[in-house]
Amino acid sequence: MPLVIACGECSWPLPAELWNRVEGARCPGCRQPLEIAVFPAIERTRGGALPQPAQGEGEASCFFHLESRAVTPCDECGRFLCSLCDIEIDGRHFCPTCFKSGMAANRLENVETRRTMYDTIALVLATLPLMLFWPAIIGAPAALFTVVRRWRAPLSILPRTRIRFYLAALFASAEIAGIVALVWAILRVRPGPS
Amino acid sequence: MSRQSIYRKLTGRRRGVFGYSQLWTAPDHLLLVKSTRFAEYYQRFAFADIQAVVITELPDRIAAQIWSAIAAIAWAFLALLMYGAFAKGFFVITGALASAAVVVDVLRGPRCRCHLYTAVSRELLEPVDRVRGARAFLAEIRPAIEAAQGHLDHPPAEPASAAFADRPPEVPQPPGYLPEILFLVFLIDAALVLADLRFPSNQIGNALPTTFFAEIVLAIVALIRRAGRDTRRLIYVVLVATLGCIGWDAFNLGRSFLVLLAESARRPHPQPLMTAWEPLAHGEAIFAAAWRITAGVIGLVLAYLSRVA
Repeated sequence: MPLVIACGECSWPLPAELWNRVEGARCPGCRQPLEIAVFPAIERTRGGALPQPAQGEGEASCFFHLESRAVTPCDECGRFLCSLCDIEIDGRHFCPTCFKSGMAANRLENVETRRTMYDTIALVLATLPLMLFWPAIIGAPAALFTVVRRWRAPLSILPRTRIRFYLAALFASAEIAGIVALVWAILRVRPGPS
Repeated sequence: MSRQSIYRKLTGRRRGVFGYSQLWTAPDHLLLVKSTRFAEYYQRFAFADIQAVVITELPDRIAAQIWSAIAAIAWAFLALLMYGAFAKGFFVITGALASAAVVVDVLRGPRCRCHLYTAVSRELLEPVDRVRGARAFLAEIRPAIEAAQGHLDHPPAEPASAAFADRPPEVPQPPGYLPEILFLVFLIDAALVLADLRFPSNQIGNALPTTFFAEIVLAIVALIRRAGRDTRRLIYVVLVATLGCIGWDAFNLGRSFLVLLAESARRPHPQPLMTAWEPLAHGEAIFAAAWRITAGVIGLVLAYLSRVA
């Protein structure tokens, strides 16, 4: 069942007469002003091409569905795929297995749904524990480890610099140097025999 | 060396307690980013798949904005009652910040909700939360969507929602418990007034302006909310009758406070104001406690009986 275009305030379904009005419209339910921009995709029927049955002996069949005719090979592993198994991303064709492994390995940037911001984590590890002073003994090395370990990890898919990594490394190094100096000073100023 | 991003910023960040959301555009799709600071979550909407964008203007909040402005200004004016420079500065700065927040809220214009429809989802675009910004957003993406899909010149022949074109039937709303809460506040305030009368040296009286103000707000809101949702009449008659008494108490409180201010100004060495304040005279306090107890008890009994019936 297609989604019904509804009012954002009262969820009342909005009739087609109100769509694409230059002067705007009002919801029949709550009378709130609306602007409804509807595009031709709403008339498009859903569903892709059905797989065709393989006709004869010499015809390539799908690796996953032997009874279906192959329409394209997978660009990663070369397996033949029917139209049901073919996953097209930016002009490249993938089988479900390669698509899944590509998603897991973050190799398909255009379908990624999540990224961890290691630079922010490193910066937080470098700065937040410092507020309570002693937790910095753990926080600073952890921040430095994160910077080194995750330096090559992909950052956001949006424009973003590595400034947080640099700052985290700078703060963490300074904290570690400070902690070492403090421990050295404490050890030097031992109370003498009285 | 970072490579060139295909994304261009479309809206500002809509910040929340634990993160933010923002819209970006690419040559062939729209990207909704939801961030928790430590991770980013991406939702892509291909321009070829977007079926509709619906912008719904939300009810205005003029009353709330006026109250917020009054509260912020009153907060800033509390600095006049303070003696220390730090306390004065604190109230002035926080009051000014709160006032600025109200002004910015007003200047940003009416609020809205923007939903984006595809064949399989209806997504609320949180970063688009003002009508002005929503129109700019739509003007920005409409050419890209129409370039991918073309233009819809005519509405579909059989709209899916034709059966709902008429105004929907009114759905009765539950009356709520606001009048009961107000009558309970009356009883609590009566106890405060009597306690202040019995133990005049403590600070109970200083709470009375706040609780009286709460009474006024609750009474007004209860009367406004009553329309169309609460058919009980008797408790609202009691409520309306108490408005005059609340007004009389507020007048007495204000008068005693002005007298206090005048006396303080006459003294050569200023003292902390609130410790010397007696909010209500003896007779006024008795009256305030008596009518509150009466109204509170009658109101609660009537409310109970009307619910049982």
